[in-house]
Amino acid sequence: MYKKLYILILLFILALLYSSISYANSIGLNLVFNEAGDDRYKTASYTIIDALTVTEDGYTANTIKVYANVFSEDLVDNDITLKLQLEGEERKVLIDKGNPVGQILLGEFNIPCKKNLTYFVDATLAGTPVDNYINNPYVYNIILSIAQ
Amino acid sequence: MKKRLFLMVLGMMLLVSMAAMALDDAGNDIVNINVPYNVLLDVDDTSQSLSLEFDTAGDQVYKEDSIYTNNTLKFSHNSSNNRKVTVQAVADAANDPNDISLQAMVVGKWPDSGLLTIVYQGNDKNARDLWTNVSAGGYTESIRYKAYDATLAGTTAGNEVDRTYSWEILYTVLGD
Repeated sequence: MYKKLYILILLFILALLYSSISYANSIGLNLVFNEAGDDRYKTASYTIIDALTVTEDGYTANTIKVYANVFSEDLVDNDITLKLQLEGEERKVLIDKGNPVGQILLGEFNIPCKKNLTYFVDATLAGTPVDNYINNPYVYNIILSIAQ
Repeated sequence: MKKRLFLMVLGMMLLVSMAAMALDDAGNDIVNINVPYNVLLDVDDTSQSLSLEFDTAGDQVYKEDSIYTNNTLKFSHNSSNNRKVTVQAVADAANDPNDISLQAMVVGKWPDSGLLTIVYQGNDKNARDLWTNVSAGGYTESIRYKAYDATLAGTTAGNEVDRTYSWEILYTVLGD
């Protein structure tokens, strides 16, 4: 009896976990330029495979909406533009020339679904300089959320 | 007793499920955007030619000659502190004695759109500030060179043949 109960609870927990966005990915993007005369950094990108994995479990609707929002510590002035793209959708601007735009809708999907998520970043040398001879890191916490 | 416990756990799981369904699902990514310091300077190494001529009997000094290179200096840096570009002319060891003076400038940049003397009466000067207070960004600029003040007596051609005097022009980026 207890054995069946444990198995039931385990399956229940697994089902809850499976229907989720991948959690706490740490992503590194480098803004670099490689030719004299360049006034913009090369656009950098990073793709997380199957960043969004949603099963039907736990959802009553046939579709879900995926939103993104950004939070950061106080950063030095910059003109970084950060875009997100869920597979099959248009790129959406999350930070526009250093200014977070607030919550954005990345897309609406039928469930179950499995999607890659790609980050794109670019900036200008004049607008996003580094401290004298020191590399500057800019850290953002991107919150992805699902709503029915 | 066991049956009661089983039903109780099932009931709790049902409640948790309902709560989970009511809540939105969420996750987060930490995005680290690294900006490495970099500075790049590139000057087209195509040789530039100036010609020293005179056209009137009795002339003692050659007419000056100048040339504008077309977008041959390319410079990028991303430091929050300004940078400067220095210039130095280094005479070719094969040059014959001469009294040529040579000037350079980054067109429209320094100093007050004027020219900077890098060779004076045949003598190379030390490295000099050619373009100062350059803020972070990317630039593509033209350079102007001018040869002037050479005398017929001090800067001779060969015996009934032309003679060439050459300098290598070195550009360097420094903190401003």
